[in-house]
Amino acid sequence: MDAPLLEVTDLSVRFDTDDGTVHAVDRMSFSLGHGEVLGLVGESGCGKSVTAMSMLRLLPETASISGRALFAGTDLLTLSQRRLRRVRGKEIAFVFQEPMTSLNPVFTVGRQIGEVLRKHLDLSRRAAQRRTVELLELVRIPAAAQRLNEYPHQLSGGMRQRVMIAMALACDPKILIADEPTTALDVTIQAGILDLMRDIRARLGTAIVLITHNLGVVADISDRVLVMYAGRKVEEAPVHELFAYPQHPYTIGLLGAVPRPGLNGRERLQEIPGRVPSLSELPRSCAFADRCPRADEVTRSNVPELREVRPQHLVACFHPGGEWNGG
Amino acid sequence: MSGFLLRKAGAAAVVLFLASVLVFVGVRAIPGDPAIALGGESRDPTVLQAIRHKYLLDKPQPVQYAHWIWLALHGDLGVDQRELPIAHTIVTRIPLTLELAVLSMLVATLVGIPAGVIAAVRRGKPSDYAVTAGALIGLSVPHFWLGLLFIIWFAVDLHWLPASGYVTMHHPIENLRHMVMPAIVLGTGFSAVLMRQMRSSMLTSLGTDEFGRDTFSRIVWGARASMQAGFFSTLLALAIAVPIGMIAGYYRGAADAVIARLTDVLLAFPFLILAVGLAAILGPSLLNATLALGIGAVPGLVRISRGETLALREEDYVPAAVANGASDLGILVRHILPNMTNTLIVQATVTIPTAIVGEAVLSFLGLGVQPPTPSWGTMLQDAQSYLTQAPRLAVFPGLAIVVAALAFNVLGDGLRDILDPRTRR
Repeated sequence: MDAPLLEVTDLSVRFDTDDGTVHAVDRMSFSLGHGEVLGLVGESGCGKSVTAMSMLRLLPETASISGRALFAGTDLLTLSQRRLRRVRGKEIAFVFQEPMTSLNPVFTVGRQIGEVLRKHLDLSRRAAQRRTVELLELVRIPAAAQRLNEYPHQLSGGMRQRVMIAMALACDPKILIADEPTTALDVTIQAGILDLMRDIRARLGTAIVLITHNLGVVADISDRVLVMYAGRKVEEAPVHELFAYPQHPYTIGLLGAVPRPGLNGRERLQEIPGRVPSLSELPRSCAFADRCPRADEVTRSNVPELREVRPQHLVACFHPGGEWNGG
Repeated sequence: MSGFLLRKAGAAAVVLFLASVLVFVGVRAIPGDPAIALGGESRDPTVLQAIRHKYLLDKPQPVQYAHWIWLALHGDLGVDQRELPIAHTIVTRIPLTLELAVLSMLVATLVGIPAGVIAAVRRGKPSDYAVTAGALIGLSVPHFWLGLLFIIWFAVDLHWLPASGYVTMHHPIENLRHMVMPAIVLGTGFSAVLMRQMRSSMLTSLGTDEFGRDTFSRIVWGARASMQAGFFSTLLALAIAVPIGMIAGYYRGAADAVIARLTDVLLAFPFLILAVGLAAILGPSLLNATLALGIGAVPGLVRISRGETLALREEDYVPAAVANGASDLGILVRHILPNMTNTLIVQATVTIPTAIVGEAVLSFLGLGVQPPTPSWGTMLQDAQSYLTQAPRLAVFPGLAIVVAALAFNVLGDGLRDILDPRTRR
């Protein structure tokens, strides 16, 4: 197996705020292969987006980042601003959660996509326009040539997200990082966008990091899934393995909270009791201990390390395994 | 009333005294000896001495002066070279001069005023151009030359009128025959002046100011200074303030703290005080007034562009652009600036009229446009002294400012509608 496209080692992100230091991400390590789709799952505030943004150093100055993020042999975390700008958008592209507001309202979509093309690829105005039409067709926007001259407010939310994806794909990036790309959209449009992303991976061989809190979305298109809790990776496995044999009680809890067909009306969805712990202090116990049905003395006084419990299946838990009664 | 007359009479006496001294000294200062001039060729010392004695030329100058004034007050102005008393000559010529003056005025009025009316009523038509051209010729032709031409044509060639001479008014027809040619010649130039005044005062109903200058023309010409002060100072202020405000708002940190506090300090001074101070340092001229007004408007605009930048940098498309590899400059120029143009345009349309009025204040203090060059502001300030007698002097320049401000507002609205795709249909 050749070297992974992206290899992240011991990535930690701290925010120095007036109320003390927040450890948003704690010693994350993962890798991403060529053309692989990695699902990054966890509830709000668990550090999914911060992990992704820290790799391209898109965080505000209050963040201090340590660790390494090797992309094609160079460490993104120590790259100069100038060279980093050439990676952003060209090699690694971002799609944000809010398609409604992530487009500049005063320029046509054609101009905004064309701008990325001309900056990174040095295309002429005419060539950029041709490529823009191609891109809009790639993301299945009907009547692409006419859409070029429209402004963001003239497009629907789904259309705007397609434009954002087209913009991200403009320079044929190696990696597409999609941060909750479907959260702000209607369910039917979500399906369309996911379908589009699958298609892009198949056609262009783009590796995708899909950040979401929705396990259904992950199951749909991911190759591998990484579950985060309170700034740490708690479980990582290939998608079928994870859904068939979830090990961490948090993962099991998440799966229990997914609505399933066949669930009858009287049955309640399982919830995970309690709330996410504060990230102001480094944990001296398992971060999930307070909410965990399996917590005991060991759990409360030691921090669990990741270990491989099944082939390719990593989990950070003292009492992994067990059943969950779902699909 | 009697006080007024006394004052005027006193002033006249002083003027007369000074004028007589000037004449006396002036005549004495001219080189040459009056005794030799009067004595003719015979340079006989006794004759010269006699002449000098007769005219008191051997006395000290103050005595000579007192004697001269004494005689003049008694109606004795001396005699001319033909030994005719000068006082008598002047008195006999008075009716002649008066008649000629009245007749030439009559000619000028009868020709000039109807011509002016015709030109004004038929403005831009051939008759207007003909009359205007005629007036121009009338102003340019030298009187003495025209008089000579008239004598050659009407007296020498055609024998219609006498070439010279005077007949008293006891024979009215003959009298008029002698007077008609000089009256027409003298009236020509004046009729041209009358015609032009008549035409312009009919075309402009705004009247004239205390020096008889046409208000309408001054408003038209004053637009130059007012527009320059209003438009260019605002442009200058934007050019300085927007980059500063954007840098402060985008980068925050120490630069922002310094810029924001400096802005606060400058904003503690009212706009006009700031502009007056700057203009006083720069020195009086329209250019410096424009610079001062522009710099004076900078702090407010810095604050506005900083605030806008602070808000806009939090918009989602800014991190989206960063993720696409945009540089700081690219984000400022392509994402933040275009999104704040609305606010800037609105602010500029407010700043322009303020600067126009500000120019008035600077000019009033002698720091702006220098008289007689008009600007709307200086006209307003000048009109202040005549507010009760001639309010129109203040009304029309004021209206000009109002119309200009309104026009800039409409222009700003239109620009905003054109530039903002969200309001475009």
